[in-house]
Amino acid sequence: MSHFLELEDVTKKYPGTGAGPVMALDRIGFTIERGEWVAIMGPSGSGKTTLLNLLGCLDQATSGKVRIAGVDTATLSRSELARFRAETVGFIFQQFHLIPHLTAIENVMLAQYFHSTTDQMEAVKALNQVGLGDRERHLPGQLSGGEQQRVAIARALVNDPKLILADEPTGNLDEANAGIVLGLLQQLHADGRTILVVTHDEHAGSHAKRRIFLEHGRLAKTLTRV
Amino acid sequence: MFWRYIASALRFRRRRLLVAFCALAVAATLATVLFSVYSDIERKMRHEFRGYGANLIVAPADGATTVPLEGVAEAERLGLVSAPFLYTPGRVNGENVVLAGVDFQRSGPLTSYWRVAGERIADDGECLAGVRAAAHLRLEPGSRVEVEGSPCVVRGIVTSGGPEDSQILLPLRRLAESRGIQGAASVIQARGDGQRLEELRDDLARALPETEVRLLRAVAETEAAVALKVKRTLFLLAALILGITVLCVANNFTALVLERKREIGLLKAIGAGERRIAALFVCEALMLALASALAGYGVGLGAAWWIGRSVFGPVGAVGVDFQALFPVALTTLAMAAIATSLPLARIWKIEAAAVLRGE
Repeated sequence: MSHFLELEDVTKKYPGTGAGPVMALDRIGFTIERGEWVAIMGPSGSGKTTLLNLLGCLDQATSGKVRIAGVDTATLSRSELARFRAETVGFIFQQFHLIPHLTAIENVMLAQYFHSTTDQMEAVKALNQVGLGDRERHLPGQLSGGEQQRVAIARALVNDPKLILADEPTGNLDEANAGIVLGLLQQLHADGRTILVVTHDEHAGSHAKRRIFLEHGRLAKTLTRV
Repeated sequence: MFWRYIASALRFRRRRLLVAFCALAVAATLATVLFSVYSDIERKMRHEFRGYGANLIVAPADGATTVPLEGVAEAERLGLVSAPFLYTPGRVNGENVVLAGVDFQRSGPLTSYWRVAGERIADDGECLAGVRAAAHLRLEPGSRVEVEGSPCVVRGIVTSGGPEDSQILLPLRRLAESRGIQGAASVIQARGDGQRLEELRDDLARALPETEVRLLRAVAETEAAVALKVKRTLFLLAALILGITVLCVANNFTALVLERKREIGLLKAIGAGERRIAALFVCEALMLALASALAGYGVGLGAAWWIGRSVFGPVGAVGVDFQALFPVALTTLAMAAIATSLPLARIWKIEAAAVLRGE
């Protein structure tokens, strides 16, 4: 039986600035099952974000295979990758990355637009799910950091993606808002979604069932919560 | 969502887009002026060229010394401005002088280039004196002279730069009567549309077979050459300014794309392909261009009217062409599309992973 997410000897090199290419990931391999919550952990520069970008089809591996839901992402064209991202992946970023000129609900509907068609009722439902039903007409600049991250979560979940990738989702939040965001991720996990969180925060990582530790681009260890 | 995105993006960056808006509005203004002036310049210049005299002349043929005055009516029937002139030697204050019989009413449009000190029209018992004749005979407006033994008051001194400067100009009817000439003149001068001149010459020649209808080629060709040069200069200047505007707008849009690279990265992350992102940016640019075209068109209409008045005077201002809106909008949109095409290539080069990391 195939795994939902499978990495096989994945290496990623970036062009260096004189001393040769930089090895961001060095022959990484692991699998993730559907509905799992996995945290990728490690210090800065360990390759966490690079790994997330490969899994989110925002970048391609230099060598090795990345398979998501049975699809080898290296075989997809640029447009197919875009389609794959729209249908399969929901992103949550540390810096929220909301479109500044769109309201909360428009930011959510934008993800619907690139996925298929917009449905305002569904977008409102997603905002209600993150507790921002009353803030739908607010611009990102009128929302707090925690609220912006919740809009980003609503945007990530509105298309019902199979995989949610979160890059330091609590990195820019205070303790209270971090708790709200982690609670929402737990809720998404309880709904059966596969969640992969990249973090160097022990507390954020502790919510995952499995924690994969990276060091210098290599797999250092894996801890599974019983 | 597409249009909501574009409208909010334009609204959000309205100050940033002001430079591009102004540049495109200037281009639209220029295009409006150009289309208005360009379409009307020939008509206006033809009107101006009328002041430089006749471009057709009906002269006696085959040893005849006069042409029939019916030629004037024939010329007018063909839409020409025309006037008869009668030339004869005479004596003024005892000196030999060429006397010119002029139909002052009809000749007015053909002699507007004459500079006249005093009156331009002489009635019975009156005359005008060419500047050289006046100097020789010591005449000035108000002087009394004897023309062929009859008294005559000089009403004006004519400077034309031509043979008129040495002539004494009398009403045609009076000179013809004194010479016993009826229904004839030495020549008929005429002026017609520069573009149809050959055709008009042929028509007139057919109507007046006993005369020789000549084209004043130097005048006709100069008119055509000047009109062509003015049009070409206008076109090249406009092309230069529009080119500079495209560069300015392209620079502005490039800066905008770079400024919005995280937004582009985010759009890619949530599943937008490069073409769809490019479509958003192109539409933004075209919406901006459309607004600029409307603003520029309004200003341009006013500018065309003002330029017409300043250059050609209040009587014959360049006509305002309301039909110019479509080509103006098309030009402005094309400029925006060209200016956007270069920055658009950057959308394909932006690496979502890198820009979302903050690199």
